[in-house]
Amino acid sequence: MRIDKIELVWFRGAAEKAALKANSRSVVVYGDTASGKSSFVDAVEYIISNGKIEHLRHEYSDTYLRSCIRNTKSSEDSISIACMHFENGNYVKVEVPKTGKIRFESNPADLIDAIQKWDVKRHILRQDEIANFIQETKSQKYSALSPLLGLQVYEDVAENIIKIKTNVVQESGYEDLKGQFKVIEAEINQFFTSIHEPDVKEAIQERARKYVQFSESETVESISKKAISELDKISKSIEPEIKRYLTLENIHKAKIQEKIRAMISSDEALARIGEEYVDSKIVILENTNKILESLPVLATNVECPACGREILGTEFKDHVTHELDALREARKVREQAIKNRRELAIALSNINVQIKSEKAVADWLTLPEKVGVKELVDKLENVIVEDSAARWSSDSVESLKAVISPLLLIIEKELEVKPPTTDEILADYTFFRTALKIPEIKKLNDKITKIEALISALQKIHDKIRERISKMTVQVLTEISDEIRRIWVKIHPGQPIDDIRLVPSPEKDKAIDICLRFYGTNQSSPRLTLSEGYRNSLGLSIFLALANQGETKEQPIFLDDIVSSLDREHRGMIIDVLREELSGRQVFLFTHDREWFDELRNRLEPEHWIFYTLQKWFSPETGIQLIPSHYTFEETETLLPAHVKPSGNAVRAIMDTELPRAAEKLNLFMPYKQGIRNDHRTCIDFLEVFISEGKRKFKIRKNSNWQVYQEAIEAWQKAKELVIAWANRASHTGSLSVSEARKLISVCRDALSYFECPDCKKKIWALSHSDYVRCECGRVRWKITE
Amino acid sequence: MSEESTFDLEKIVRESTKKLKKISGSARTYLVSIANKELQRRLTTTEAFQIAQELLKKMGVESQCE
Repeated sequence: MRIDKIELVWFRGAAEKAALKANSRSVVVYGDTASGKSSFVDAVEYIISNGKIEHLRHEYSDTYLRSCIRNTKSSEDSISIACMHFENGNYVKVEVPKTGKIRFESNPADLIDAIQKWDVKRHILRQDEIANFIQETKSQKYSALSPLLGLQVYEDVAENIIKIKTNVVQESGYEDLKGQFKVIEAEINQFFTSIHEPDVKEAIQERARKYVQFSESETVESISKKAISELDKISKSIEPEIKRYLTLENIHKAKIQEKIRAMISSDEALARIGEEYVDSKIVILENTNKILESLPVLATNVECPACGREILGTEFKDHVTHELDALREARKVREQAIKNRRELAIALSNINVQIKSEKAVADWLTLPEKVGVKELVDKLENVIVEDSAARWSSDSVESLKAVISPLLLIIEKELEVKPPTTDEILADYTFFRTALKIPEIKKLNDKITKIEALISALQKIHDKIRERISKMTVQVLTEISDEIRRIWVKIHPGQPIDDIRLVPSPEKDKAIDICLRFYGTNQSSPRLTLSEGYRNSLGLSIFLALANQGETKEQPIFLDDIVSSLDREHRGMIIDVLREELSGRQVFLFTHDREWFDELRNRLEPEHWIFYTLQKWFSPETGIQLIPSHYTFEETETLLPAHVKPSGNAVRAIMDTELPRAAEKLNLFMPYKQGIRNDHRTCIDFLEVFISEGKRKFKIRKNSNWQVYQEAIEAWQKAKELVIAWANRASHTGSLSVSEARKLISVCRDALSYFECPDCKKKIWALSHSDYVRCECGRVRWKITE
Repeated sequence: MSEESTFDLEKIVRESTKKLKKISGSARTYLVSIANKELQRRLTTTEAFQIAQELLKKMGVESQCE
């Protein structure tokens, strides 16, 4: 796709009309600063970017940058237009009226969409954006490169998969299910070491046997449900059973038989020592003892007030003490006997009260099989102890024994079957309820497993896509890196910065680093070591390498003042790149560097390139003025008589182009000029050198003799005079007449004709010898050594 | 570009979902069937949601958010 011309009407610096005609060739436009070069680049960017120009973005906030697109002197009703015409007659155009809708159109209609898909960063490179790629973040670099060779579609796929995965996680309630699973798992782990079916079944069967019967083939769920049902019943009936058990246990704990035995024993002891008047005797003897303490040893016999025996006076005191001890012991035995009787009476009373007051026992006693027990209980109830301290008759004791012994035997038997406790019931109930959750956790586990399988599959797809993207990225980056290095070496041959590579960043996904080797040391970023000039030429290398990838290499590129930070040598190298790397591309090159422009004109093939010069921009009304910079003398003549001034300029341009080229071929050294003048040499400077050097070096053979080629010297002298007088006048004041212009053309054409042999018509540098060059036939030659 | 760099998404989906095949052949078949169409254009949030719903349905897992 090649551009035929770019037309601007009241667009940026252009006035009524400015047309940059490329005729499908590449174009070099030279112009001083602010002569309107960038207006063409802006127009192209405006169309590609659908009404946006990056370098104006921050200055003008209005949509479509209307206020800066229109020429400031354009009339109210004029429409600013930028149009790109293509070689096949197609075009894309934008019309920007003062107010109202901005209109993009194209022929064919879908061409505008195709053009607006161009990546502006891969088509336009401006001086102040040349190192942008290097300055961008790693992620921005990746974004800039991802459209290359269709990586974007796979980025989209990877993103889609992640979106689907996120939805699967959310919609399935995956996290909640996992939470539920953990809770149930913790419950199950309290009772079961595993949820392995046989282990679970064994544990459930073992515990269920206490409550229900079941067959071996019954499922865990069935057994658990049965057990739970039974436990429900048990929990309802358990209270009276436990109460009955506790009552019987209390009766048993009362140890009635031991108490009976204790009472009998103490009563027998009491019977042995006799118990009459013990208390009175003790009182008398204690009083006697007190009296004896105040008396001397008695001389006469004394009758004991307690036992009534006569005692020697000397022994009476000891007798009283002894008797008192015996009585006290008797009293102790009696008290123990009474205590035992009372304890038995209380125990019997308690038993009767408990039996009577506990409904569970009462109900139990009403059971038909408990008639015998009931009779015993009734008998026990009839054992009435009116005086708990009174001694039981032996008949009463025997009657009690006859009731208590069988009753206790029955109670002991009842107590052998201990009723389940509430805690146990509760624990078993929880156990079986938990067992029922095993199928639930299995279902939950199954669900989670399915979701995880899906999530895992989606993640795997994503990872594989990323892996492929990564491989493709490496492949693409390798290809681009090769291209960058190739271009870099052309601009900077033999310099100590090499192995430039674009590589995926090891630090994060979707990021790209630029690595290089600086004096043999690997560097992870060009910003670490490269000067601004190097960064710019690296930026240019990267731009050209990227521009040469994919579909872009069929499309035009626009380079606006890209060599500003490069020295003369490297600018020359850029021309090599243009010739060798971009020979098949349509390039629009804009420069304000006159010397480089001359070099471009000398070195780029005229059949592929057109050269324009922008005249100085005077005002918005005059706008951009372009003139071709590569006329032939024939073309120059056709400008007359209508365009005298342009014809004068064109002659001057021809001389400015051809003389440096000839000087280079003839190895002619130009004297050094100071400062900027060195870069602004004109054809006059060259003519002066040709004249002075030609007198010594330019020879023609006449009659077998080599003579100075005097006709040539004179022709150059004449040309020099007229260029100074008239060509300068044409460009500075525009006052050249038609006849003067015709004569100027004739003289300059004549001057340049001496670079060809009058006989063989070949260039005088057609053949090279050690110290001279010559035409093919050898009629003329130029000494190239001093 | 070399053959190595060509992108066969259907193949990737097939390779990545071998395990899924054992659990839900229909979910896998569905994923494979959309590999060369739906998945290769940028999905909207709603479209991604619908595909996720369909996958869960085919897995026999009902949505918790319905």
